[in-house]
Amino acid sequence: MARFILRRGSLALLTLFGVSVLTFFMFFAVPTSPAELQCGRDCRPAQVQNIERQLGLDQPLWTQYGQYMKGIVVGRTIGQGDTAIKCEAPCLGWSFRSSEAVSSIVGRALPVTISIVLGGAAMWALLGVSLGFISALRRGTWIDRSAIGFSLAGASLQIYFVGLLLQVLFVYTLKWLPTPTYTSPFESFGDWIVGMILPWTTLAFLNSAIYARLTRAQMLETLSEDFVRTARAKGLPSRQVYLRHALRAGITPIVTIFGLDLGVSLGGAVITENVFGMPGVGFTAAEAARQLNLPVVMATVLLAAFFIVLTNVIVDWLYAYIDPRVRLG
Amino acid sequence: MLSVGILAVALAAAGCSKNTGEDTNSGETTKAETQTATLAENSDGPAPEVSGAKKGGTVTLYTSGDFEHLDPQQNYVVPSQTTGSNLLYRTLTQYRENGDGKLEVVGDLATNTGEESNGGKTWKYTLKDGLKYEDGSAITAQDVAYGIARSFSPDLPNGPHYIQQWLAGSADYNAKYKGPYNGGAKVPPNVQVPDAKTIIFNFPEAHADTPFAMALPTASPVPPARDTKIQYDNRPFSSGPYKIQTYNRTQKMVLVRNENWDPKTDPIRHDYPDQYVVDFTRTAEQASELLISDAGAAQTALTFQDMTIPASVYPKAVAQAKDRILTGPTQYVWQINFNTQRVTDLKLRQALNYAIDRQGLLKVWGSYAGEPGSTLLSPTTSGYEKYNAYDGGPTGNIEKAKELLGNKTVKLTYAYRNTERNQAIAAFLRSSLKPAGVDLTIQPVDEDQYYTVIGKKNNQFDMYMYGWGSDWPGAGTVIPPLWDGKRITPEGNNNTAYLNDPKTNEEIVRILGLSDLTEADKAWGALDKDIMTRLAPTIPVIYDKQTTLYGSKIGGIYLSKPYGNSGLNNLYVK
Amino acid sequence: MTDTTEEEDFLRVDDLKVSFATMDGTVRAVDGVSYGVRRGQTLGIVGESGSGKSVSSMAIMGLHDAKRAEITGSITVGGRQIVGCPEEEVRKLRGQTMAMIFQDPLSALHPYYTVGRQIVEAYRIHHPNASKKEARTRAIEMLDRVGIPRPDKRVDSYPHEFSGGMRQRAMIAMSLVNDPDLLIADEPTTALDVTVQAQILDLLEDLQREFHSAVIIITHDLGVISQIADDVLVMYAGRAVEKGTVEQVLRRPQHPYTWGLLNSVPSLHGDAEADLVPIKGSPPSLLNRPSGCAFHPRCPYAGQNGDRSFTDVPELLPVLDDVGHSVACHLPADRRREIYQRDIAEAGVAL
Repeated sequence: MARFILRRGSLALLTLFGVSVLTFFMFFAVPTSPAELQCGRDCRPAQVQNIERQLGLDQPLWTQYGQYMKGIVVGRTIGQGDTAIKCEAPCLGWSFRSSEAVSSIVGRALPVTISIVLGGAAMWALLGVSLGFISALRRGTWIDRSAIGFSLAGASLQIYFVGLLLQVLFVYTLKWLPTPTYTSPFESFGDWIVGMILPWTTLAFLNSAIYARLTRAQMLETLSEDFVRTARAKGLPSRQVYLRHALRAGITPIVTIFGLDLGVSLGGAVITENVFGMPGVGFTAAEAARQLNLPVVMATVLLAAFFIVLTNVIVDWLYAYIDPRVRLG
Repeated sequence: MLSVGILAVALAAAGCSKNTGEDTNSGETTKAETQTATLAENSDGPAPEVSGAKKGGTVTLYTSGDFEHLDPQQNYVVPSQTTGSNLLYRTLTQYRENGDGKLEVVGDLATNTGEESNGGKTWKYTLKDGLKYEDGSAITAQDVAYGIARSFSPDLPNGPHYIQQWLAGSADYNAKYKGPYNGGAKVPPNVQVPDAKTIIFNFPEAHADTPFAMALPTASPVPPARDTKIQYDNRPFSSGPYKIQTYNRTQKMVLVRNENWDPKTDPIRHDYPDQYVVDFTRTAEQASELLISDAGAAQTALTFQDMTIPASVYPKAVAQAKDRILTGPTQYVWQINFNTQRVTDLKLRQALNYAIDRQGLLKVWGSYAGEPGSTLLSPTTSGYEKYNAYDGGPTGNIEKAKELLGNKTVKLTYAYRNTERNQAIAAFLRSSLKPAGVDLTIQPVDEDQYYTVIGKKNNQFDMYMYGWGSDWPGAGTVIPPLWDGKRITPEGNNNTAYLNDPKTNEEIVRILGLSDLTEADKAWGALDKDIMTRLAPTIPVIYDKQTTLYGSKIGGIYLSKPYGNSGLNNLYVK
Repeated sequence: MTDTTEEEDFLRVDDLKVSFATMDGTVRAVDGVSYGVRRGQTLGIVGESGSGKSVSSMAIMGLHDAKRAEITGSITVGGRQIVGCPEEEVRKLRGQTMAMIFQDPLSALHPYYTVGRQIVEAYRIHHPNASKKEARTRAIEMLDRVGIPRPDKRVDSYPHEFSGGMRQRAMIAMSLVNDPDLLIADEPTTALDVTVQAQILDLLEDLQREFHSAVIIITHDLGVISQIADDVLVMYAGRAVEKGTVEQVLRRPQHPYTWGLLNSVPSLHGDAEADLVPIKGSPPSLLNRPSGCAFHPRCPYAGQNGDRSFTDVPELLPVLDDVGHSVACHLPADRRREIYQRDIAEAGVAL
């Protein structure tokens, strides 16, 4: 286990390092001057120079990169003089556009994305796996066909469409739900749930298809396995046979896909967040990209990479947990 | 000009335009809206009670995305300026609009709109008694001076630059003074603060517009002890009727009453609602749909001009919420500029002015989002005078254009901002100008780069759409930046027609030097007409309109003329 | 070895027919089979794959999907009718009254659960009042009984951590954990190497003596039969072709197919390679069963009794002068004896 953590941990760090270098040089190599963009249109050369100095853009790229990395680990001071800013670790830079630390921007957006994604993922996995499970057990019947049809319909639709449709239906027309809004679950758990229902449902509807199909295929495969026959021969009730033996054995690829989906989504559910007007990481990233607010873009890209790497490590670790034949190391 | 940001937003938010079935507009422009702002005789508070208004309730404001800058000295975008100036901070002067269509400049913190001497070069302001910040401490003239001082800081570059440039006597206001940070003086150059109630501006040149300039948030007080410098955006210290309770950037801001604000000192603001909630997370579609549905919190909600009803939702809004649409002109004029360095033939420019089909153009634009325009100044700007130098009728006069062109075919390049609406406009121009003998090549420019590209003096385009709005309802914030040839620089130009006409340049200097506002207004109106008649450097096409929705329980709403935006001063919950 | 006490059959199978509807037509996997097994008795069922031997035992366990398999006839276990019985009742018998051991213990055990947990699960299903601790003690006891060293440690091992023989021992422990009255072992030693095979068969014999249960061993290996079974049922294409005691069927085989099976067993005395004579041809398709005697396409003696081999399905009839021995063959009894003496006996099958 220790070896696993050490090995995967260092690999993960190496990946993140690579991503950070790539992102850094890509974004800071763009032809437009970040300082000019921050300054706005009616901007004097002195102001541009000032922002350049503040951002450290007058220094060599590698120095800038070093500063950036140092900021993440121990924090740093951005700018000079009276207006210098003490940016605490983990310092992801400073957004001059909104006059605040990038880490607080990201820190604010993260709970929104985590709420959307974790809730949505729980729903889409549950819905997908259940649908797949039921269709496998009722293979060839109308239940099977409608379950798979339902999930395929979801997969072939666009979130713009479904999201707006649900919103128009439940919020504007029927008025059953308030407009989707993020409320911290620690502030009001009820409001959090109510505000999140639509994004969760939309995500569940759209993403469950792959889980349904995968689960169905896996179930059909494991149901013909010898150990399932053994379980039935032991006299286990069918529910336990299906859940504890058949589903459990087929869960590995589902967990893999789930892990990857989760990692990608945590980096920002861009479309969902925009459709429902929820200022999560994806919303923030899109906004920052549109405004060329480089420190924020950089931070969101790093964050996305971090989540993908993290969920990959967790999925690897889960393999060993799920399948005792897999050895960590 | 009131921020390019807003132009960008207004353009993007309106989305694709199509015929919405409202083509009642011909060449007729709005008449009743023409209004010259006057300087008020009486600046005393309190503001007159709004009939039917009562205290209580929560008003929700939908605005697209977080305010970039709420720091008064950096605040230069309409929605945040409205929020700031109506609710959070007071300025030396301000606009009084009591819903009767009358627009006055009044003393806000100051007892009057300014005492002028020395031929319009010296302006003295005296603060009222009993002015307090949210913590109960007194608002001083030193704090007003400090606010203006910090607007000089290169670290706070985003606000308007009028007062700084007037004080410095030069466009490069940072040459000698860089604000109060890093050891700089707390009072900017050419400002005197003899006592806590008096502030005197000694401009090197005359500025008759000073009462208007002092309504900009630049002239808002900031106590040095509360100055968090570039982080002041997050929590400006309140001098207005409301203060910030919570501000979750990009999500929402909650404003509650500032108990230390004394209505007796304030001639324009009220504090009827208990709270304001600013919701930054809505799109124009969502906000409009919510307001049409009029459900729950949306009953007491409204939006700003950045949330103009999208074309896709407009028919529904008309069908279901017709009486809850706030519509009226903003200060923006859209015009198709000629790059006069390249299109040097006056007859050609005049021909296109005759040929332009404003009615057709407006259909593509979205009929409800504008009115046909023919002047350089908007009807909301003082000095506006209605005329059409090249009246080709509502749909244009092709024959007249052909005659002027001598039946020749000319090739021109039209650059457009690559948005759905502007693509449609470009295509419309190409097809509608063809019969006149104009072979228009249309060329897209990246959305975010558009103003940078056409702001370059050596750009390779012949024509492009340009929009401009005044910073206060005076032509002095329109004609000089747009038509003064001496202001042309290699990059970042606002004079994108690149008109450099000695007579115009001279006249601009002369009018700016006038100390009588009425006389100046008259002169600006004449110059507007003269530029068009003599030079035709552009085709004015559309006077921009705000068209937004508000909830059924909103009372006291009005369209604020100087901001071209929903006004909050008289707002109450029914 | 025949148990002569007149005990009633614990398991009784009468005219069992199992067929599956497939896209290509109806597969008649078992086509009228009857037999009985008493407590303490071991019945060996022999046949190639596809002969219906596994399908019939799955029918006994009630493991066929009722929607896909059509089962007629009668199966009684301890007097209870299995055919047509509600699933829930059969389920309660499974693992308790009747248990099954499968061919490949690696695939038959769940790879993700410890051996102990799987045994505990089997126990607690039928002993819902037993605590986890009791069940675990019982599991360790069973592992000990089937000869797994240090069972208190190995109980927490996963199947992949066991050797093949150990796994089959664990499988046996699991099937016997509820003291079943009927044990069906489906090819229990096929996946194991020879020395381990013998150990497992010894273990099964010991356990049967101890538990006095009725046992069915399904195999294609006559060696296994000779070692452990009391009676033998030879199946071909879903039907019984020969039935009798081990002595009768292996020493006095009557059916050409049985002869073929015997011929294909490597002799322990001679040169294994030379002696091995596999049966020609391949098992028949159950979709297109050959007319008449299903074995006729592979039978060297088909047609020696007119056309009957091609037209009539032979019945399972008693062999003259050999009580309890029956065969389904059209060849006249004397002709069979003649052929056996001439072609088969000298091959010297040593079982």
